Amino acid sequence: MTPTPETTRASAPAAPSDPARRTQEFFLGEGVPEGGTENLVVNLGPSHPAMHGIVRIVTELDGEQVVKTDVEIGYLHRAFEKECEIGPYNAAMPYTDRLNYVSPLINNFGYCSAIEKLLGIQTTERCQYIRVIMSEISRICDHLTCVGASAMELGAFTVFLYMIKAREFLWELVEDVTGARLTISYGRVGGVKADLPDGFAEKASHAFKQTREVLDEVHRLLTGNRIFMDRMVGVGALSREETIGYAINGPLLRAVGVP
Amino acid sequence: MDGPDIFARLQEHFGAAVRATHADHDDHTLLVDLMALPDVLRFCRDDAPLRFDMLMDLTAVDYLTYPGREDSPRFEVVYHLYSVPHNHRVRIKAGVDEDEPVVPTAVGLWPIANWLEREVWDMFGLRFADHPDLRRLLLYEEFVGHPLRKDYPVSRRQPLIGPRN
Repeated sequence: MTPTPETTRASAPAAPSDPARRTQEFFLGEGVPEGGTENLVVNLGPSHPAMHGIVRIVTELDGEQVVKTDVEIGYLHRAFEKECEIGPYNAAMPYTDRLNYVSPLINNFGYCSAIEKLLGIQTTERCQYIRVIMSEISRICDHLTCVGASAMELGAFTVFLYMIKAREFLWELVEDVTGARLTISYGRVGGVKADLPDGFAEKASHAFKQTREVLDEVHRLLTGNRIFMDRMVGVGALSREETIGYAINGPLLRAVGVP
Repeated sequence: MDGPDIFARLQEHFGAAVRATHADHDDHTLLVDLMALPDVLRFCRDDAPLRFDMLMDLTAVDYLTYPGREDSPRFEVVYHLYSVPHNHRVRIKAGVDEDEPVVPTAVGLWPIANWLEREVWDMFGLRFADHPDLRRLLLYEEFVGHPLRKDYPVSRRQPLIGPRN
């Protein structure tokens, strides 16, 4: 049940009793029955629909610890599945660009592989290589964004800038290959839209070298940084059972010791 | 275990409750009785040679307009299972009638089933018996109907609601 504003207010401390005091402010230990503490319900979001990643989280806090949350994730729901019911298979390709705004290529190729499996199409070896290379570049972009953004939430804005700079090196490669940065629509059932451009190999090795340099800088900024580690280590940690039970995979699953 | 062994193991334990099996496109699939579904899923998770400890996906299919299925139940609920220790997969399906679209919950087996079942309720209108908190997951409470049913028109408008507070 979503807490209504009434229940939210009811769990907040009662108003101060002194009528001479006119502002609504509370002093330590005041307004709490029998000197104990009460959990506080805080509503995070939703912010404006044009923001990225809009979500509403109703949290129950005990000090700085989150005790309980109720998450509303539907604000970004765009009914792609329903739209895909009409039109031919290839018409759904642009929708898959928009499923993840950092690594649209992977979604393109995932969708293509599913249809190829249904139709029994075998793609060429060159196409498979292109798909793997482009997916790996997208994956690195994704990790750069995620780590950079979580560092930014802790106030390490430099890390965010550096990592977005590195993502830019890789996105330039994506732009070279697909002609776009986000709405790429590069996958095709049975292949890809176009071959890799001339000089892609040299550009890619150069971009990887630059990205490695950035990672080295970020590594020196974050790993062993007291503030970063104190706020990250053990916070929201998941056990092996929880991770598997919630079907979480990727880096998080590897982090709990499942190879 | 590979697919045929998984079939054999489940057929040996559940006999006629396993209605059909197939391996189209190399995806090994069992069609089981809805009544037997909770036992089959629990067995899949707990049996040592199977040990399907991860519920990769839980979804449903609406076969309303599908040719050749006029006599079968309208819906099918679909479980995609994966085993981390054994690295094998299986897909389990069960038919659900339109008149009584109720499926036993799997929340006690895999916690992720909580949100997945809420999504299936939201999109297909299949209820999950004994689910602890069966609200819509993606859409809002005032939404009328279940949009991934085949008889829901793409262009239907929904009532606009104002801010809730």
